[in-house]
Amino acid sequence: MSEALARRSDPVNQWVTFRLGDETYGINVMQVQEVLRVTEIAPVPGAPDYVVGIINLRGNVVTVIDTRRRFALPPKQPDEASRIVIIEADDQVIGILVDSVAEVVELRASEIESAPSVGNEESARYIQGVTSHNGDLLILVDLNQFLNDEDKAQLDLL
Amino acid sequence: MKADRLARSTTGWQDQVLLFYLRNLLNQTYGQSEALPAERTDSDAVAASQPVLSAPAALPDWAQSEFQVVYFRIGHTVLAAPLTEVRRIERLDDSTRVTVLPGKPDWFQGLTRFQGEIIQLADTELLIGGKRSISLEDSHRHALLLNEGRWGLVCGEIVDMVRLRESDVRWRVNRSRRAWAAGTIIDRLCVLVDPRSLIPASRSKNLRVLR
Repeated sequence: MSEALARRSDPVNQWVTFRLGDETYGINVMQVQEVLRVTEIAPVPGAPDYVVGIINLRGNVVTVIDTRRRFALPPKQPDEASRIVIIEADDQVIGILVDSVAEVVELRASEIESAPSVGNEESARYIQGVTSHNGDLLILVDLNQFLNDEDKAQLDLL
Repeated sequence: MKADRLARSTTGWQDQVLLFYLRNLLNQTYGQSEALPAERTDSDAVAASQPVLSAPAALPDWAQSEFQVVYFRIGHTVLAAPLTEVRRIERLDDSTRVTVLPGKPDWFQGLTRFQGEIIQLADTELLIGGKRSISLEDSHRHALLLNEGRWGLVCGEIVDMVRLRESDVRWRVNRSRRAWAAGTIIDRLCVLVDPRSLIPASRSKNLRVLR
């Protein structure tokens, strides 16, 4: 009985991890619909600079976000390892372009520490927490905060 | 006098600028007489000859009658921090893995782990001076782990550790600017840092476990 109670109070969630530069990030598996190889992405003139373009996903138009630009990292040409992760956040389906997808990890809530928040920077919104994994630190991203209201409105106009 | 001897023995314009700054810092003292006005009466002359007592400096709570400090180097400058605020000093080397978080200020270097504990690394030189004066390699060799907030202040060489008395420090009266500078260690003309005031604390949160 106590074991069941312990499990409920310290739930385990699965996180899909991906690489951007030297760092590894994780997103909740429940929000990941699928992972695609990088195919032809059609640019959208006049779109915000963090939008790579749009793709056709089984008849649906999906906007692809440049996650590197979103995180203020230097740009990088997509290569064989690059992937588009199709996610659903706040009823919006978008694709995020990442350097590579790593693995799915299981984490207990107790293993996750809240991210440091200094000043009023935007990243404080979407970085949910950090955790140690395989000797490295994993940065957990809250996809529901990844785009602010203004971003979502702009994407709706594409 | 000591400052002048030091001035003659040091080289480089940066050291001259630093000495000028430290001399000005020393001059921010309490108990100094005010300058006499141009026209004064005899009663004014008597009053002027007496020392003006202003409010004493409010000492940090770690400034006991005796306390230990660690001298550390950042760039070309040596600073001091009270050891009561520092729980550990860790060495940084090529094997130290620092995880960079996106969108953070320049002084926020990232996260690392020491003995299994996640530590937030702050670039001390950027925090106090805004610019880096020497290479990263030379300037980032140690982290002073603070008691509060799982912060590590990144610095260069650890120079010395000594015991001081309260009277060895010229305490700052007004810390509305450079709140991190608690005072100047008179003997070494070295700024004594108040670590709690160094990290922008108003929105700074401790790392804590999410539930």
